[in-house]
Amino acid sequence: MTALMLFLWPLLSGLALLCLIKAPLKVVQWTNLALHLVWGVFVWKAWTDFVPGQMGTVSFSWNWFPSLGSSLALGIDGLSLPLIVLNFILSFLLSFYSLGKEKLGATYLALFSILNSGSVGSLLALDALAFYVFWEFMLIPMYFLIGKWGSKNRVYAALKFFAFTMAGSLLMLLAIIALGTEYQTLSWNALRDAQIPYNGLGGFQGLVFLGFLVAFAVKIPVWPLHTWLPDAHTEAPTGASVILAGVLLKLGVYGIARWGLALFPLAAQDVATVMMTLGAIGVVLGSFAAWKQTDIKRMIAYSSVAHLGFMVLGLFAFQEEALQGAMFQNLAHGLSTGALFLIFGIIYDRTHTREISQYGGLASKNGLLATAFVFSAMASIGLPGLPGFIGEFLILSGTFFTNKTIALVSLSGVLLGAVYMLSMLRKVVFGPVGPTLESHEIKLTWNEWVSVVPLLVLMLILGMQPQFLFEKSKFAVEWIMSLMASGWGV
Amino acid sequence: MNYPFFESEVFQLTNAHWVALSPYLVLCVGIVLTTIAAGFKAKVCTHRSLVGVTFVATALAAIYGLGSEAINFFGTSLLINDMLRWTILAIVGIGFLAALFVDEEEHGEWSTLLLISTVGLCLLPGARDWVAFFVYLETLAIPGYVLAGLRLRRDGGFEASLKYLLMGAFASALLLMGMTLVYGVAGSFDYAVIRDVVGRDLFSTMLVAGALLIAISSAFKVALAPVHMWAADIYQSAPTGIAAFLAGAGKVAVFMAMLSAFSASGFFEIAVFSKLFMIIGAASVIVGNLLALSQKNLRRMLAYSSVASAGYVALTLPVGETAGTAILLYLVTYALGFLLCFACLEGLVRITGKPSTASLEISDLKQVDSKKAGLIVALFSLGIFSMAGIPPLPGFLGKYLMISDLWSAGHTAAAIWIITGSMLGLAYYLKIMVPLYLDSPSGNKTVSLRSSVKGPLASAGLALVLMFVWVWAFAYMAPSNSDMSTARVEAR
Repeated sequence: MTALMLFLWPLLSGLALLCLIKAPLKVVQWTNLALHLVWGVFVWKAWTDFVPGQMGTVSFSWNWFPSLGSSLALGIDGLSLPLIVLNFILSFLLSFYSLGKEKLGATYLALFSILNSGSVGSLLALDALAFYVFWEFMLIPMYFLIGKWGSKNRVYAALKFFAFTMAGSLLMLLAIIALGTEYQTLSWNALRDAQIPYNGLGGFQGLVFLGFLVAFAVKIPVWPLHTWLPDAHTEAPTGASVILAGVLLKLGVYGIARWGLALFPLAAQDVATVMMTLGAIGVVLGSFAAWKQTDIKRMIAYSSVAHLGFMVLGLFAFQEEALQGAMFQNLAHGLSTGALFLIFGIIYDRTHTREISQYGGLASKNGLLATAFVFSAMASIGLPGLPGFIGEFLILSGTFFTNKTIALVSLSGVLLGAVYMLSMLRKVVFGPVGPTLESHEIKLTWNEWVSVVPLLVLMLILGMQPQFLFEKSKFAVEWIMSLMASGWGV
Repeated sequence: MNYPFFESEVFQLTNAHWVALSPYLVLCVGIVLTTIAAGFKAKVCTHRSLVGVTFVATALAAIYGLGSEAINFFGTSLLINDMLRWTILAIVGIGFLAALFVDEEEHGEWSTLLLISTVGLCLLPGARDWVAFFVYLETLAIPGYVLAGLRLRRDGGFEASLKYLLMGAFASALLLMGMTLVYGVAGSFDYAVIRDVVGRDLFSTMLVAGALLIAISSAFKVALAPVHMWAADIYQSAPTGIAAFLAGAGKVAVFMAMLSAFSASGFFEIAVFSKLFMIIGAASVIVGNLLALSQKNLRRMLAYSSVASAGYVALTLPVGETAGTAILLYLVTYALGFLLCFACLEGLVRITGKPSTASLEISDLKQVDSKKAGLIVALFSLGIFSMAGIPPLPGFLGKYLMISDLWSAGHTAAAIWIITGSMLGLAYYLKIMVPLYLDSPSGNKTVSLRSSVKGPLASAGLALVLMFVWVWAFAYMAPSNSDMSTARVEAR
């Protein structure tokens, strides 16, 4: 029942908020916060009730289309639990951030809740059709969030986001249909037990896997399918940027692990080198592109391309450390990039410019905020003691066993990451006070602090004591690795 | 006195016969009542309620009959089975919603004509020989010509209805020609006999030519690609409710009739025929989507999008009756989505201040403040997204099932074609969203929901609810003759 409520509650809250469309802003925003608190209770229950040791346990099932072999099967396991929690934390903190912001009214918050319902739903789904429904369900609210509340070029960015993601998803739809007609079932467990035989990438398993892979590769995004991301990130409003970086991109990584590696291990092994090469290209090119940006949000977006490149490496290196690292990095990147977007969003609310050249001297205007910004940037670079380091270290050490060249090439990404982040920090945080900051006061309200600080604390905890998270996902990772090793039906 | 004819078996009607016929009888009563009402110059709302009550009663009669055995009437003239009852339900449901927002003060006859046309629509899929098919098709078409021309003097109604009438007459001639050729080969109009001839490989080029002529003339009725030209004009200029009815209910009935007629006559067993038919479908997908992309007028754009959607169905038809459930589900969800959009247009046009929906352009939507007219805008976008096939809206499921049936029947290329078409379709569906939501409103008109908007709004809301109800009801109680799961096992 917890599983059902986890996605149903945000959906209901979204509808409730839509009913409050005429209510005063304060009422709407506090209601949103209260609704999030209730959602938090369900998330808390899911976290504490969770016992690692089983994969794909269905805790709620409704046989909605028996004739298609599909049911609304939901379950929580080590792959999905950390991301569900991350999704909740980010969304909860954003509802603090939105307090008092005039533009972020009932429609905005309702769309946000509906988006949460879609993203949590796709994490919970253990049925291909249900997964697809939730996956697509995220597109509509995100399209409106970018298109309505974004900055100047928002319509173009929203369309590009929608078109890219939808094009990828339709290939996945084709793959799901093929699976459904071939096996009469769409349940994740049944499909896994069916041990789909493999005869080359042109065979059934290969083609179906590629269909899934393209959809996830667009979402991650893997180079060269990444071009929608900088636009979407740059134009999106702060909240949408945070969720986009923190949750939506992560769903691509999650999708490959659950619907790619677990169901089609042999096809995945055949594309591994290609995917790892693309990941490494993403790391290097993403870093160089980030270095050259003059727009802060665009820079962070390209840094995401680079970081997600690491995760692709981790997924396809087929080493336990690497996969564990990818799963960990998923969270680490969600927190650090989420924090960067959030802090910059708070600054942007006051200055209304994203040009790096307009900034400078943030440290002398608001030392505390500058510290938080530098802290998040360091986490993003991968400074030891912060979570980014653990994730990248695990991924790279795993990759090194599989493919030394790729590992060495991507290692340069760590260095480049420091280069572009530090040069951005130098221009924005330090030095003489720039033209925009001269004319604007940067004073944070209490609720903005409440939205930022927990992220920093979490990063510190995750960086110092990652063990509690590994405990939750260890079994899932080992399980996938043993599946990859067993290699059925050659 | 002795009347042997009336004592023959044909007229020995049992209780079951009356139950089966009751939907048609109810419709006939409605026709009489609306004619009387027109004689007394009743107001448009009287006509509306008469039509509405008739449709509800018809639906109840059809529901009452669900589950009973199939019955033949007059030899092969009419076969009433569960699939037909579901089709009737769909037709009268769409008709009911469309009638809610017919805004035709001048001509009271619209109600009678609408009901006569509905009788034809409800009979057509039940035909089991080509003469009956022709008679039912004309029964639905002739009132249709008049309905389409109700706005003769405005919005280009004259050109549109003349085009429709002339092309319709041409299509009827083609149908008769095709029937003649088929009869010449098979020696019968009976679907089953023709199928026998096809099955024994006795058929000739003449039969194939006849089948193709029949296909082209029915393709005209559902606006498939080479004969789709009338659709944009009619859907643009006819009164909004009538256009939604013709497009929605018309397509449901004619497509279901094509499905049963072509598969029962064995046409789909002729490889050349199936191939050519799928080419027609594929062409409609491309033509409809590309033309829709370039439209500025909203109703024209929706019209071309419906050409594309007819293409999806045409691609699936050759799978045969096993795909019946999927096709009916898709047709109904699409028709309801289409109707929902048209109903919303009727409301939106009052906000933009244009004289009628016929001249409503996509850019006019900029004047709509999505905050003040929240309900109507939200319904409109849900309708659009459902037609685009985005889950969890019902339009997705129909498309999913059709693609799934195509895939299991081995028509992989057609399945991919539908998906590609859907991608193209997204482009223009999203084009509507841009002025509606994303541009800041330029008009500062205050929106007052006059009573005249409430009809369309109610209709749109009901359409949305009905879409979901239909999906659930149909998914669980679909007639067994085209049960999806068994169909799939056979295909494998």
